[in-house]
Amino acid sequence: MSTKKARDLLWFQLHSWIGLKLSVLLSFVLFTGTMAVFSHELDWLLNPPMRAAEVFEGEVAWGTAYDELREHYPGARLLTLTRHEDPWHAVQALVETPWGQLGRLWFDPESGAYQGVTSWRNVQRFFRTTHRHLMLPTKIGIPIVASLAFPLLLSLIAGLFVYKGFWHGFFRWPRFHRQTRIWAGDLHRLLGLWSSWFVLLIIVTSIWYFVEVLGGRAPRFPTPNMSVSSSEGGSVTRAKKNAVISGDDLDAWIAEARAVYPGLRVRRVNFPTEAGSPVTIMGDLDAVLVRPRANTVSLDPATGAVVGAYRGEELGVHIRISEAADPLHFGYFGGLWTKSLWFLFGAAMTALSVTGCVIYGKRVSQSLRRSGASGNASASAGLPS
Amino acid sequence: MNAWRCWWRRTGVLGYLSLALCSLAVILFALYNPQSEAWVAHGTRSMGAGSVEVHSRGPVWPGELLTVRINTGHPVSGRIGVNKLVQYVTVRANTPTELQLLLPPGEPELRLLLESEGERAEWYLGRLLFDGETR
Repeated sequence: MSTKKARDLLWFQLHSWIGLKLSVLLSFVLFTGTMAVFSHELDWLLNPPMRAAEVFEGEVAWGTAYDELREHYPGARLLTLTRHEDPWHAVQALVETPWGQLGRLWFDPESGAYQGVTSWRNVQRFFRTTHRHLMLPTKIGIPIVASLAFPLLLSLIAGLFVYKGFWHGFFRWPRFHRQTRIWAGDLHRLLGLWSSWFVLLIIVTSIWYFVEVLGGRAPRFPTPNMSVSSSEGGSVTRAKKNAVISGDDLDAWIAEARAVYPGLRVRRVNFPTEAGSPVTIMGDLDAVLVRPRANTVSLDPATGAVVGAYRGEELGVHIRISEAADPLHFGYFGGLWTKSLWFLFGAAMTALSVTGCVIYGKRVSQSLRRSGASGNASASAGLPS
Repeated sequence: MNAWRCWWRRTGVLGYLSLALCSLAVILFALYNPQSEAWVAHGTRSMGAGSVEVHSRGPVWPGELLTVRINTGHPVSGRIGVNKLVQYVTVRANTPTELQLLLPPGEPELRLLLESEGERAEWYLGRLLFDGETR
């Protein structure tokens, strides 16, 4: 056998072996990841309280929502108030009951009116936790899932070597009228070619997650200069602090945050986690490919004074890479359009894994049948086993 | 041999391990953080010539009110409630009547009870998987 042929066979065997051995795990991770793209939307469809009364792009009635929350659930400890990026979503308050149960309360963004309560567990949690770490402890689960990026990278490279003259294949329509192995092979190649950029993007971001979990995490965001007034005493509990805050206070803080960063589109308010910790107001500003937390104003809840602020453009390269990983991996940075694209290519990646299994199974069963017919046990030579 | 069987057999140890991991993920999700789970199954419970519709759904917090609607073909005069927290109720025939029932705190299982003229019906409502009193 010539060197070139031997090399080609090696690429083919590598591609087949990775696809075969990791097919179950890869298919599961790819499928759950694809579904996770629209998991918020699935929850929105399943839970009426999550829907805003009308599509609303304006400023959320934060203060009213806060007062409504206090009226309906006076004993609940408020952790965060969050506005979803899509204007048809209600505002979410994540709360903890006195007996330690997490719940989501929903408010109309325009009027601030209370709309209902849903469980902490939802479709989004299911797909996120199963896709991200297989529900295992994150220290174990994330490395397992993220490390799939390495064999996936090898498989991508090998696939391009195996597919001779792949640049001619972008418009080669699968021969669906032929037998399963043929059309599955055609479809596998076509999907592989069109989604190769996406596969690479997912590989790169997954490798980043792998690096992050093994210690390469970006440095912490700038911490506020928090000698937060202990006017209420250092032993003041968070629940008590929450209780003395009013909707007017919250509106005043948000106005203060906007004075620091005019144009800040507030997306999230984190309430103090312990005595002496600040209220943080996060949102969208000018920087691209960052999460709302990249634009943050911190305030002393007792005095309303600004104790820290930073915006996306001021953050270091390491933090910006870390911030960009999620929008690029999840595809939400361009709204429904990019999400739809990510969903389609995610489905294509899942289909690649499944069609790979079909091709393999068909090829092996056919060769076994042939070898059975001719009595030639070596008919499957060259196929990875 | 069937193509799927060929494929499955050759996935080998990694295939079995992967299947175990994926199954474990789904099972673990069902068991995960039981404190966060306290659901009332909404829907209609049939009762002779009528029904009791449970309107509340989703997470139930002890101390909250559960909304139910009774609709029967004959008048009902009796008691309704969740577990031992019962109240007297009078419902006219073919007149849907909405009631709010208090959910008792700290009880692991919720059962809707209706007693009327010697008849007694009890339906499973949901399960609280947290300890509402000690947390």
